[in-house]
Amino acid sequence: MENVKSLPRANWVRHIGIPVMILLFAGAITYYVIGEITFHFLLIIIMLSAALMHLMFLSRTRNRDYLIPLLFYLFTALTFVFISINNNILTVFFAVCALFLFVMFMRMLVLRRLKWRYREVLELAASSVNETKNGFTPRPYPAGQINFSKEEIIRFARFMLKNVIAFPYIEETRVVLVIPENMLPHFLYLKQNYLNETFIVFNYDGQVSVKIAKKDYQKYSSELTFDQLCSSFANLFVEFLKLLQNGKSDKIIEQMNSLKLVL
Amino acid sequence: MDFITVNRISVLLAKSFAGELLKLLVIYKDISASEVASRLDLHIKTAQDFLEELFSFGIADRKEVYERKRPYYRYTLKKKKLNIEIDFTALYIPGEEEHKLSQEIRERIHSGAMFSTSGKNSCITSVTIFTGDGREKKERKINLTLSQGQFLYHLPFPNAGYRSIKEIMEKAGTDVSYTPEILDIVGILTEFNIIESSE
Repeated sequence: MENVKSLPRANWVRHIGIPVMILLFAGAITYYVIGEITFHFLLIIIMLSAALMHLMFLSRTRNRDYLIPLLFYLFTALTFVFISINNNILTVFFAVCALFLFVMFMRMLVLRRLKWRYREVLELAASSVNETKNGFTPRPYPAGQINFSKEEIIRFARFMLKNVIAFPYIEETRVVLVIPENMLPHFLYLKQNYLNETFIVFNYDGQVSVKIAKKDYQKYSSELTFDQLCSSFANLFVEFLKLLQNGKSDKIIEQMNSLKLVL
Repeated sequence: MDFITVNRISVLLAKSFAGELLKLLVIYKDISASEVASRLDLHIKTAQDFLEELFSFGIADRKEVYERKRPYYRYTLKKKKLNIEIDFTALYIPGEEEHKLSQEIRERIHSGAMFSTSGKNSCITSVTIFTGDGREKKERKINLTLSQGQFLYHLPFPNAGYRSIKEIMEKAGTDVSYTPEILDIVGILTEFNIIESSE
């Protein structure tokens, strides 16, 4: 039976099947309508854009795992470059490399090493909430006081970014860890305003507060008692912070992976 | 003089014809509303209302006279000078509302209010309240002082246990000297059904 508190399961057909079908269809149309050379040119542009995007992820997260998709997209682009100029040796070389990187990339995805952890965070926060009395408010929840230094909080923020659990904004007096459904606009500097997102604030004086966005709260299957959910959310991150301080960061990832969410 | 009386006198004296009308009262030994109206080119009702207001404040006196069997009033100036003294502190008596500190409150569920937060401090900077429906819907934004913002930041969530105003102030680190403004914002938000009390 599905957990009554959990978020609805991801729809494979909607999230993977339909986009892939659309891409294949668009590719086929492009190939037959505008010709092979233009098709290759378009693919090179798309692959290089994806490589650039992953270069951005790599530089911002400092997570070396992003090298795999970055190289995969780059080598795929190069494969199509050499197909276009009829260089068979280099085409085969880059195609074999791209194939190898593709296998590595898929492995990374299966191991959830590149997964943005939005759903996991919401699920884990809800796991200890047993009442369903609603009580939503857009106000932030003061979740108490912690005893960590500014450096420890910033280190935690960087860990959160490296493992794409939360997107941190390091400010003068505090660190704000934003948990957006889509991190891309934050990575690309397209979205600097996090006030409408779910976030947790760690003030350097030790105060912790949580704000859960209405759109995220409404994703739960039932109307969880809101103050308990906020409290649980804060406890989850404080627990993560403690685990990181005790050198048990693997446990954080294990907790996330234990939910076995793929999408 | 209490504030409401001063307020009413001010409204009366602010009328465009007030100076001219009072001048007539100084010049004439006594004068009727119809004589004032004709002299200043006013409607008789306007002149009469003004003179009656002066009478009610004790500035003018009136005497009933009979002419052709129809009684009417003739007015005379009673006070040659008017001193207005207002004690602003009388508008709020400290300690009068202190019993309200024990009142237990929390945010009302589905209050519909929007709370804006400060980017730096743990406090709320403003509350936006919506009243009415459809085309009649109105938005009212209340900007908060720092102490009010910190207080509201610690206000119990809907469905959470009620807390007394005093407890919330302690949690928010609000000094007791801010009690009047805290009680003021609690009063407004209670009026708009944003805050509910356990009573």
